[in-house]
Amino acid sequence: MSAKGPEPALPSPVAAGSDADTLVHLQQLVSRLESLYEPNSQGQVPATWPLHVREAADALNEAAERLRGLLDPARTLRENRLLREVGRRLGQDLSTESLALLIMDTLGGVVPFDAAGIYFIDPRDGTIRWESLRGYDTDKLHLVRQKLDRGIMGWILKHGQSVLVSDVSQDPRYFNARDRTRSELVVPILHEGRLIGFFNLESDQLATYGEQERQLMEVLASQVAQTVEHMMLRADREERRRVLADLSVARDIQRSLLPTRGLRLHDVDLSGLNLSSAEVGGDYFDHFMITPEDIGLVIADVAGKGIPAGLIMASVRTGIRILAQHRLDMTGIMSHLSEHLLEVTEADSFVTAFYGVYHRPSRRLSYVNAGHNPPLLLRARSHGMELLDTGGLVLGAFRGAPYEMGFVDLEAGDRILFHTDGLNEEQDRHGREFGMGQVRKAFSETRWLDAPGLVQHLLAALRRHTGAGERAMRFQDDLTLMALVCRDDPAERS
Amino acid sequence: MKISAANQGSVIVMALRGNLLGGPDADAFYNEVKSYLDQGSRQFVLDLGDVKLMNSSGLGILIKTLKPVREAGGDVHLACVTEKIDSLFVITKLYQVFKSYNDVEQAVQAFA
Repeated sequence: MSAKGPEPALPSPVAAGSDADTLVHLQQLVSRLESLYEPNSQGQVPATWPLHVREAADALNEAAERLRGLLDPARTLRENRLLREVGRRLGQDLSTESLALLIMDTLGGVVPFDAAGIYFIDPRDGTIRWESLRGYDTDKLHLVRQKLDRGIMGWILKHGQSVLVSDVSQDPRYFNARDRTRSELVVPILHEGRLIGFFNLESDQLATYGEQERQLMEVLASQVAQTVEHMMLRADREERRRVLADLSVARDIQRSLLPTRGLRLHDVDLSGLNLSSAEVGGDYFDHFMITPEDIGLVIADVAGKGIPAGLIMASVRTGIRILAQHRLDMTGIMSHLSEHLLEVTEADSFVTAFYGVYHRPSRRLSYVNAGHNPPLLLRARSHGMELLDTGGLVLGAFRGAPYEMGFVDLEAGDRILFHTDGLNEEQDRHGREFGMGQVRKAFSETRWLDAPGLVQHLLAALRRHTGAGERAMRFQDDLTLMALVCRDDPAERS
Repeated sequence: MKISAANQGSVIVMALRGNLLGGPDADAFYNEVKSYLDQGSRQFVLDLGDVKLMNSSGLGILIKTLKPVREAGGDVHLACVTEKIDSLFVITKLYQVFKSYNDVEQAVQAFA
């Protein structure tokens, strides 16, 4: 084929207008070219055309092809389907992970890619909260993540705008995590102007992505944004629920470590109470038979609250019980525990603990008080009150802390109140503490009560002070009480 | 809680005001002592006269602070401890490790 006439002038610039107008205009220009230079039967630009005419025709054809694609009813239909499908699924109760998978699955049908990723950012620290990736070599995934700091994705994290790169080799921002990639499209997912994630599409062909793909992805991104934000909020709520559930289990475990009932023997009566202000507290009390003649008694308070305090409490309880069974001397037990806690806890953590052993035949209570609120001993005969404060430093604070053992010889009717600071420091609504004065007064009123009665009397006095209802079982701080009453009831001798 | 610090010779006198109840305040206090320690200071006086409330977490931070100071061969002296806070140190027997003085001057002098 040969040219029919003089070389035509280059087509005039395409007038601005709607995409459809532009397409018509382009098609007219192509037709005009075709009328001047006869195309071959395959519709290709014949090689016999002058070079600049061939280039112009190719450019026009490419532009027309792109616009045709944009206006292609079938393609528009596919895009609409994708958006509708995603929209429908977004309304479902999907997890964020399955949403990401769904988007990646459906995306390929509309926007071509050889590798792609959808990333969501953790608003708390700006790191990637989760991602779904396709088409990257598994051994290069670490490079994909480096793209976040250094590549075009890093740029978008800073600027929050779409980036369209026709030839990655020409863009200095491109960070190579995939050798075959030639062009790239990165589109932010914005919620109320805030970047919450982005899409990254990579193609092995040059100039795969144009305005059309950018627009489609931006529509998709805006649709995804709101739902994902809701999902993230929901995920946070679920996480909180899980934590609360864990706390509740931890509290149950902790409760199971406390004595379930008091101990009532013919010569001694023991009762205790533990009320946690938080789900898991650091207070505890314990009483256990070391031998039929010796009863171990513990009250302790771990500095702090929550699961860490609960774990330390569990370890102290186990430690004392095991060491007591091995008949280690009491000061040795406290030294062991203190050194152990120094090893396993934070530098600002410590435990106040009172450990006593009541020897039933002699009615002697031997004890070591490691920085705990001194238990009060109320003498039946003299009505006098004594403090059990011999011992040493709080446990787990300093290495090599020395401990000293104290003892008291008890008589029938003598009684001891063990407590944590939750008792004396509990405040009324004016901020006034219950205080040791009122503790002593209430305790002095218990001379005729058994051990459970003594505990309930103190609890009732505290409730009156705080204005809490008669049945209130919660206070501002953890509260632990334990009472020992020496008795002599031959009728119950066995 | 507010912390103000001043030098009296080689002694760093730190006055604490408000509540010492653990948390970020307590961390800030610890970090300040640490930074003085890193700069070579070894002698510290803590003026607790304006500390209204202290709980076990507050005591914990004092314990945590004393450790690196002692390890570096220095010491922390307490001054102006109020009655309420005094009872905490008595009960926990922490006076076995913390020396306490009636006023800042005595606490500083005790380093001489």
